[in-house]
Amino acid sequence: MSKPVIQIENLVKRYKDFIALDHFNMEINEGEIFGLLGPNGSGKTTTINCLLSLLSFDKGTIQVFGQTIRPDSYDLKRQIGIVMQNVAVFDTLTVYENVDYFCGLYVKDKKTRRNYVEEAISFVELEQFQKFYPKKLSGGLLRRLNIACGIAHKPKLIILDEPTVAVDPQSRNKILEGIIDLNKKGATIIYTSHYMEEVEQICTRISIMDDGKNIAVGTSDELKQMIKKSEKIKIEIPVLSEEDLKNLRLLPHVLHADYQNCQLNIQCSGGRHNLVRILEYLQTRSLSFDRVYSELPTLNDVFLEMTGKELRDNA
Amino acid sequence: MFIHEFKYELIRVLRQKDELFWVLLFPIILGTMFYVAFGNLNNATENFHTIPAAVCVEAAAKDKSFEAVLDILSDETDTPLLELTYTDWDDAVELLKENSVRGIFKIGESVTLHCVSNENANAVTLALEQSILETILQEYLTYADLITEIAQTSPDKLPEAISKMESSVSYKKELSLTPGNMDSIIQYYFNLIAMACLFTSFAGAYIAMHHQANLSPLGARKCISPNSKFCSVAAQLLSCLLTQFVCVAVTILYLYFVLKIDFGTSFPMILFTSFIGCILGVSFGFFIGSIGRISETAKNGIMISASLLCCFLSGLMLGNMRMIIESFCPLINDLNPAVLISDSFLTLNIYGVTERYGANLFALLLFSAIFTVFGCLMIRRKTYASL
Repeated sequence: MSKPVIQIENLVKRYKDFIALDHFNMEINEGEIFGLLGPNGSGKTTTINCLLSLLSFDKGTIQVFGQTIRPDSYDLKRQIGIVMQNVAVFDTLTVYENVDYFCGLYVKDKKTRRNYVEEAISFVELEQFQKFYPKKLSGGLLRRLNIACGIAHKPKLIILDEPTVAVDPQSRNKILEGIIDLNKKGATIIYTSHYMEEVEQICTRISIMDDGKNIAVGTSDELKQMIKKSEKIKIEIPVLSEEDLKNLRLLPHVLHADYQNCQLNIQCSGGRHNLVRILEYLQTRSLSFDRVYSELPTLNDVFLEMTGKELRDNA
Repeated sequence: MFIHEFKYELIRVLRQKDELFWVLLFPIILGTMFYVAFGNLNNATENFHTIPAAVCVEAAAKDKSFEAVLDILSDETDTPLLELTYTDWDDAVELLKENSVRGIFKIGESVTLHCVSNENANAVTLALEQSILETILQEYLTYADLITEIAQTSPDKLPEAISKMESSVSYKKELSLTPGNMDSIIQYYFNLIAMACLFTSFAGAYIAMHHQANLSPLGARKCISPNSKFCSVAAQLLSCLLTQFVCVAVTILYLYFVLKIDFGTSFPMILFTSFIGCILGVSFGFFIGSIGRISETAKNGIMISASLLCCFLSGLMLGNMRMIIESFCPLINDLNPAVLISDSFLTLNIYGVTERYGANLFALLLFSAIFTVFGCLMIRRKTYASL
């Protein structure tokens, strides 16, 4: 079994009367890409800042690589790379100089550092922009520079705090591919985002946060199995009688069915072959239909069912 | 680590255009403006020119000695004090109206001076030259009366009195107790250098703000790096101090070599004093940068306001402001870093390295130490209550 890299127990962080983290628990194992998913203000960045010993907290314990982290825990910090939510680079230094500067805070040997810097620049595909100043870079390239500055020293634990905010789809895909690549090279990754598609795409395990609490933890499939709604079926039918609608509602695993604007909407709970069963019924009743859609539940559905709120509302 | 931080701070400061503007370009521009503005004043008040004067000797003139004095004053091989035109009264009046002469010495039963105001002439120059003519006459009359009195009361002491008068009378040569530049305008340039020193505070503030996680994302990134914050701050402060000093030195070199401003003292001492001024400026900025969660723009505003206020109170905009403050609240001058810096230059210029100069430097270094220590205490490695 892989070792835990991070263990957070009963973490409480208050800003006067506002509780930012409410007895938050989290355990991340070596080699994982762990996603912290939640709307803005749910406590993701606060968790990261407490973890990095930037923020003080009121209660709880945080262990990184089995040790309590403090502001002067230099050996622990040497193993951590952070990609901040806000781009943190020097406007007066070029791309190469920025990466070299931040890498130099961790790696003293000049030759090793030069190799690391070149690798990091190559990793984020900024080779042709090495002599550019940050102000000359587009938003996506700037985010990639921000990532290069955070990972150049080859840390064992990489924390990426919403690295794709305000990034175009092409750059976003590059960043996500890069994160998977870093993980394959051995880094444990914590990835915070309010974009559920990204989290679902790259994370091996996900924690859903809301109001400073950990609502659910598991793989994407495990989380989806936690909710009743598992499948949404939409069928375009020109004519459907009230009697047929009642019969459809009586089919196994059907939670809800309605007919509006020539469209039949059915929500099913878990169970297999829901779509086949519904289509068989329509055929036996000789009801003609056009297009058929079947949607599996998303993390937004999970979030909606657990909190009563739309995750997307705050995204 | 120290060298790494030192190197990149050096690069950063040299590329930070807004900081370079305040610490390098602005003082040079202001210095050039001073030079242009004060240039005419210098010519009018300080540069000596021979004064043209008319002399009318009437037939009734009994005293020939004043004529002899005038001849001596107009006959010096070096720039003579007077250029005399002997003529009759009517012609002399005509010359005065034409502004060809500044006054008429009328030697009759008594000696008198006649001057008129002339709207066509430069008022300052005319007043100065007429004042010199008036002084010549008054001095002559005073000494003449004195010699007459001595001759009547103690004739035996007459040769000794005349000898003493000859040795002390000088109309145009200034006897200075110092090799320094006594030009009062030099004070403005000293204040200008003091201002440049205080403007180094911007660079100091930048260092403080970028070492605190609650003030900037860069600060947060530095806080999570595995390095001693003290080492990083020390390297950057030293690097920043050197670059800022070079900028101030360039300003001083420009004033000295291009504008030919005579600082009146040894040039290395001027540079040394400005280096101490830069230490104060950088540490002041470091202190301001480290206090509270105020935005970078607001902190820069505080520093500009504080620096310009200090410079205003030291006389950068109004030459006698410092004396006004000295008369009603000298403590302000004692605490004003701009006054301490400019007074150090002034002391060097007039008296050389003295106790007062040492006291000024001590005060500057003491303030710098206080600012640096408090700044370090505020940005020391810690966890923050909020970011």
